[in-house]
Amino acid sequence: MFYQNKTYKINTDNPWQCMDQETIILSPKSNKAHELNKAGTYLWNHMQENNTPSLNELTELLSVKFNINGIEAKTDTELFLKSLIEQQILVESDS
Amino acid sequence: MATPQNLDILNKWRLKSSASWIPLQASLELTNRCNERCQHCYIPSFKDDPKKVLSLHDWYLVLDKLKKAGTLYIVLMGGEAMLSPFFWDILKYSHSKGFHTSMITNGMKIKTQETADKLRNFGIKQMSFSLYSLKPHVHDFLTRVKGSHQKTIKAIELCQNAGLEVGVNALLTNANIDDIFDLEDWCIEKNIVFKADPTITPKLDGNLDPLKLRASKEQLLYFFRARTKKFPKSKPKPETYIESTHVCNAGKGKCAITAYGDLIPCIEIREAFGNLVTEDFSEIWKKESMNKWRNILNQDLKGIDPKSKSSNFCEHCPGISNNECNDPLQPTQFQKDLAQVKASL
Ligand SMILES: C[S@@+](CC[C@H](N)C(=O)[O-])C[C@H]1O[C@@H](n2cnc3c(N)ncnc32)[C@H](O)[C@@H]1O
Ligand code: SF4
Repeated sequence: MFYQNKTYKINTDNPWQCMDQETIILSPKSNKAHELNKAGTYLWNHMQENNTPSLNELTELLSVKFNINGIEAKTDTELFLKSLIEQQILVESDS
Repeated sequence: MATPQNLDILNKWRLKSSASWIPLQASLELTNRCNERCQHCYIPSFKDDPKKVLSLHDWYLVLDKLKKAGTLYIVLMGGEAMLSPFFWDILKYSHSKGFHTSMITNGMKIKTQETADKLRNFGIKQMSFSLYSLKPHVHDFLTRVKGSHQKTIKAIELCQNAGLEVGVNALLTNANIDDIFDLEDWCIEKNIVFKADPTITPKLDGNLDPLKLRASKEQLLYFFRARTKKFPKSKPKPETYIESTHVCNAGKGKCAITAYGDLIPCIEIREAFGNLVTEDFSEIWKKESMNKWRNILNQDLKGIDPKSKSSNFCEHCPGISNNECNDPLQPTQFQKDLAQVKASL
């Protein structure tokens, strides 16, 4: 599902806030709230600053920051992206 | 890493913000100016001091600081927020910063479908309209502007057409109490979130004129009995009286910013602790003097009998008490009556 040539961008229509290394993101259309843990918040903040990272970039960041191996980092990043794309919080596009 | 859940998450964040003094919600009074002259209105003067009003850049700074302070919800109000020359820019910026931006409005400036669509496109998430009755003469009597009823109703329709989430806030007064059920039925039919609140506050400078519109205890009893009969789920729920519980969230999980950039604990408490344009949020927020508002506990209130049933229904507001009786710890007679009425149902 996740390809090297894709990038991921935050849909700016979703209100969000970070507190104590956690993030809350609202989806007003579906009336839902989502929460990101410490690792998710780290990726989220990176995406706020660097508009359109790729899967590889995010995986690398996670692996270095939390000192986990590449495979584990990739699985976690894919889960993060998949869940947020499903909720229309992130959009996938060709790089 | 992302778990979609709902109320649990929101409640957790509300509790966290309140406990850690993070202002999850901030109300912005964009201007004191207004195009209505409501009899009940708490605003003492509908003028802006040109020497003190904020520039657009100042408002951007305020929003930047609130984002950093932890705010998620921004409520645009006034006066009438749409009379601010910067309304659209502020809305757009607030949306771009990732705030959930809503507005409390009389809707008088929303005259065309383009305006309603623009509100949606600029990112407004929720519109709360102040509508007092379905009878034009009752609404216009309260707003003191002839034709205002028609304009507010039209604005509601336009915003619904634009696909916006719409609510109605009806202040319950002795002039519209007989019309409230028709208004509520109309809202239900139109899928509009309806709120009716009988608490009328004095003007923010202590002038008591608005209180003449408060419903009497008998009217309140009639209203709550009839409403509970019609909508059993609306029956007021007790909140177990605990002595060590804070009476409100002011200066903890919420704050407000005046048209001049002053940071206050909430709309009702007008003591400015600093100016958000010239000072850091955290510097103002941690000032010792703010604690007298944020640390008020149930046990500090005067004349409350913890064993009485009505103590579980007391919704004390230190700001209202301060404006009405010069004592933030003294529950007003109105609040006591309201609590007794609710407890009697
Ligand atoms: C001050 S107005 C500002 C927004 C806008 N002009 C409006 O009327 O919707 C905000 C809300 O406060 C309510 N309000 C005004 N004066 C009040 C008072 N003395 N006590 C309680 N609520 C009041 C209004 O009905 C309105 O819903
Ligand atoms: S419309 Fe709002 S701000 Fe204006 S007078 Fe009425 S309550 Fe006050």
